[in-house]
Amino acid sequence: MVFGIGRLLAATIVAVGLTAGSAQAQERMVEGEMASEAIKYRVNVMRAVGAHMGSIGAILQGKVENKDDLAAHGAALNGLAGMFGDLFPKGTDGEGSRLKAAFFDDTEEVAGIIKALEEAGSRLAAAAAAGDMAGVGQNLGAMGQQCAACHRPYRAPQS
Amino acid sequence: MQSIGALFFLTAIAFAGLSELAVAQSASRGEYLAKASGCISCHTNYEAEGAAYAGGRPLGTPFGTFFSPNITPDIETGIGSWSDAEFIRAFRDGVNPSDQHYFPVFPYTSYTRLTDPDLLDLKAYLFGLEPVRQANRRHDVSFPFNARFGQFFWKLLFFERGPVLDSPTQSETWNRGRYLVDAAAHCGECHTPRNLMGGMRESLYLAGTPDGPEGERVPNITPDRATGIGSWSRSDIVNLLQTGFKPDFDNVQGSMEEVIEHGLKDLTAEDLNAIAEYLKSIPAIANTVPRG
Repeated sequence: MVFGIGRLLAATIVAVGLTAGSAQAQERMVEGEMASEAIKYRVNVMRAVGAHMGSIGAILQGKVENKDDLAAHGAALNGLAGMFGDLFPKGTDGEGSRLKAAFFDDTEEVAGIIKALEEAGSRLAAAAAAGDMAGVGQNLGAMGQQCAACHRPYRAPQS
Repeated sequence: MQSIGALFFLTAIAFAGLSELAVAQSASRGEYLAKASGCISCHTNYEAEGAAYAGGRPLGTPFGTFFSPNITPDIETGIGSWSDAEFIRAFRDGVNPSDQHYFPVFPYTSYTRLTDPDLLDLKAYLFGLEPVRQANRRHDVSFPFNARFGQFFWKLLFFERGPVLDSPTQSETWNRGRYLVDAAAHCGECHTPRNLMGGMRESLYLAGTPDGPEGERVPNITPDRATGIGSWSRSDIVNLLQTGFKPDFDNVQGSMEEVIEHGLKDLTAEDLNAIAEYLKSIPAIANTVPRG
């Protein structure tokens, strides 16, 4: 009987662990060299997001004529949005980073923002592939809103 | 006889109505100017959830911490007893009604460029607010910087009295843009680097500094392509001032977010375009502001 309960308990724990998904990813902890590399990696992903958003913006405003690139930019943003669940391991706030400690306390809010970002990215990719300019513009704005929604409370101003 | 009396009466009412209309108009123009000039940002202690315009906000500088005064029309603790002339003098000359010099943390060095009619509109707006009773806090500044008479010498070096006349060789839009940038929104007070004495280094006009107010990094907003905003279009500039988003959808933070939120976002598209036109016309200065 004891063994039976023990196995049931173990199975439950494993099951819970598997379904925790991206929330558990934020429980990852890094320090030292790994922390500074993780910060660098994150900043590069952010720069890539900004670059693709800026490119789409330029296409939509008619500043450039590379309309055929829209689908690729949309797919790129969708892919980058999907990375956000793993970009913020514990220990990547503080020195060399603008991430505020409060980020790790507000797990629900953060999860909500990341989810909204991923959804906007997926809608953006679909609109871009379909050549739906209005849809691209709308979802580009929606992604931008999520950027600000996280930056405002959890990113320190530049010093 | 009665009809003349009635005519007189009606005329008197008409004039009273007109002058009330005139005052109402100027107070709403004053409210717009207050948004462009960012008065509420410094004169409200947001952290302590203080009343709007009642002062008390701590402003950290290399010379110490200053506390903004109460500019609601309270007679005892605010500016309710000030005359039109005293109000104008505060901005034009940087001097209070007791003939004491203001510290330039109050950016009279820029506000001196505002016109008399605009200043009176601003006064009409402020005097229409609810008076708030809140005494001013003493500045936390040590000698010699707390000696107001020292400002006399500082002003000799760094203060140029306004107002500024429109340039006859430039368009109306350009002149409006310059007025908004240099007088009302006082952009240079943050975006132009300063020397050790806190005076602006005009050779680096709007070229940014890593050590701005509150220790924040302030970007180069001259049209230099490499180090400033030369690659931005006019609509990029307007969009930033309306939404806080840069062309790559990153959002501005810190003091600039406040400036946009508390005022610039409510300016007319015409005025924001004028600001953009002016900013695209100033000398491009190559000045890399390091990222902290």
